Amino acid sequence: MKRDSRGKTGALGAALYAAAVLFLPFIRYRPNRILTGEAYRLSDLSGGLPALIMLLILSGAFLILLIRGSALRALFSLSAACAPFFVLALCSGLPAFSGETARISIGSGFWAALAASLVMLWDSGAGKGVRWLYLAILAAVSALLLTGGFDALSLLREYTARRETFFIQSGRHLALAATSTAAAAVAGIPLSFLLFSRKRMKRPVFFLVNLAQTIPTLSLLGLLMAPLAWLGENSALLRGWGVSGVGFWPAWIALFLYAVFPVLNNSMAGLAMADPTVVETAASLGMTRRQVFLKVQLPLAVPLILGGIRTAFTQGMGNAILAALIGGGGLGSFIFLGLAQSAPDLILLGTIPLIALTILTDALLGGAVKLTERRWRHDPG
Amino acid sequence: MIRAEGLTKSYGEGIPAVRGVDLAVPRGELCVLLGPSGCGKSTLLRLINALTRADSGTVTVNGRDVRNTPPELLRRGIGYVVQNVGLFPHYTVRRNIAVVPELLKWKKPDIEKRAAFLMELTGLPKNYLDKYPFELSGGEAQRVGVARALAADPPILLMDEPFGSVDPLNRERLQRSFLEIQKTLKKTVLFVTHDVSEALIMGDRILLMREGQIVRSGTPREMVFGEGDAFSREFFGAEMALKLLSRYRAQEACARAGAEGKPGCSISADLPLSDAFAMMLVKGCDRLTLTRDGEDAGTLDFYSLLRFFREGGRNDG
Repeated sequence: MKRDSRGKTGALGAALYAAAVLFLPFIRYRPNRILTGEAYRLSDLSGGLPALIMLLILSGAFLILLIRGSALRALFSLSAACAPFFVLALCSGLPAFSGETARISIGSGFWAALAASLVMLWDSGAGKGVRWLYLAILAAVSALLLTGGFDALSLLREYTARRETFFIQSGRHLALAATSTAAAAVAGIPLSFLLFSRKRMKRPVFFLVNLAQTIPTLSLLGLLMAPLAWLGENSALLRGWGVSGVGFWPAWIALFLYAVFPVLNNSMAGLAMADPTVVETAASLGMTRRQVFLKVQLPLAVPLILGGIRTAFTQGMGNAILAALIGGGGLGSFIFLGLAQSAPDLILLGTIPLIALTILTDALLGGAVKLTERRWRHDPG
Repeated sequence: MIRAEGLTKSYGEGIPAVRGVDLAVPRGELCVLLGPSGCGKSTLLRLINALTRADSGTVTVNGRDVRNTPPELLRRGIGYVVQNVGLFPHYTVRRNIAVVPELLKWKKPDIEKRAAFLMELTGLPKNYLDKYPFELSGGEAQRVGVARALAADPPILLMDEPFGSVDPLNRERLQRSFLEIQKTLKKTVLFVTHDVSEALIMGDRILLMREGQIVRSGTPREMVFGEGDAFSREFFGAEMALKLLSRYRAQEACARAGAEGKPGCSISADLPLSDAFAMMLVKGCDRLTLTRDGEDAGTLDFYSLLRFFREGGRNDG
């Protein structure tokens, strides 16, 4: 039964893949930034035929392999995932598309093929397939980026025009999310211990933290503007630090308030999970309350605390987009500019590094969680 | 030594868990607190290292009133072993053992030396020092628990059903090896159990508890040969005499040198006397050859066993 449905999903993925490269526009050629341009399927392009045949063979081979051999299927779906990037590089090198202002946008066929290859990979039963997919695509893309294969892409044109601010805004985005999460951890972990040992304070504190969580991000930013503007105007010291109703600080404070909840919640759960015998034994051996917390309760809660930090950070990376709306900068500034100018490639310029950064940092934190879990598991085996 | 006077502790309404208990455990004695579950014996133990505070009454440990001693300092001088061991899962065996010495700021080489000594004492291989608790069996974890309690060489040991969660075979091993340890270290031990045979095997003295009070006390022999009230008779059971047998080794009741047992009727001289008695019953012989390392070590006959048991073991009263 299960095997059957798996094969069907994979077949569907391969069929989608074939349909995407056959019928959907793979690229869109625009003579300059303003014009919408023309959509091209692979079959419309002179010289696109070999690429089309290659992609069809990939999905066909996958279909044939559905009968057996999951390792080979995984290999083929990885190839199917990387191939569109190479075809894209091929297209952008076509002489027909050259020109100072000319540019190529990525078409729906490309994205659909990429998604379909993910379905194929998932179905091939390779357990850690998705992770391999990320790695394979990352390798393919960076190889092509370095060799200049994508230079004609509109995305790259947008990047070249904004090279300086791109790195500044990426850094700023990361800094906003990372420092606000770190601050939430520094505040949240001791607070969780306080609440854990003084149950009476738990309800009011959680009420406040939950309240912050229920306010929509945009509204919270708006609500913070007035008090921060007032503080900035009335305190020379804070003004010196750059505190005002707009810019970095209101965004940072909003992100911090959002990050406290997952950190606090997970730390509390981590503290509650520690075996009560172990905690009591720590006291019975002559540890002070402080020592019991630092040497036993806290280390045992580390896997869950890291999990909370991971959630808070991922959430923060997404929310930090909105910082751009109040002059806080970050990758959101490209996205909102792209929205305002109806320039989808500019939106992508903000989105793609955001996704890449989030996946990367999430994988790092996830690895840390795994490591601590493996080391501190309680049960034998 | 441990002394308690008029100790009372209640949790909420109803009968107090501990009611006016007087208690004295002299230096070097292994005293067993025996009683059914819920009789207050664990609470009594926790009152001594201040994990629980008494409503009234006093506890003195080595002459110092528990109420006037900071609990951390008090506890660093009292080893504590519980049924669930409570090893720290994120520490290796070495660091688990080192907890109290580190609190007492021992030097590193001293801790290392002590850990090696304790591994040998508790019968664990030295390479276990680098294992994590999840890699240990229940019996091994319990040995580490004992080693950790003994780490800073405290004069006093509190043990709360320490071998309760180990299978019967391993429990017997742990009991014997702890008795060996106790023979050399001579700690002042208060040992809580609900297991009559464990109490009869381990105890220098037994305190029988019921509903928060100590209702009877005495040596294991006094418990077996004395009268006792209805509760005591019911709790110990008639077969307690057989359980007392396992306190001694076959060798101790040996009457004569030289082997005279029937062929097939032989038993290792170091096995419990109860095993020898059981063999007499099963094989239908009243005389056993005792062996040690494959050599004859004497004869044990039924009447010498009877006399030994009635007149008292040679090494307790």
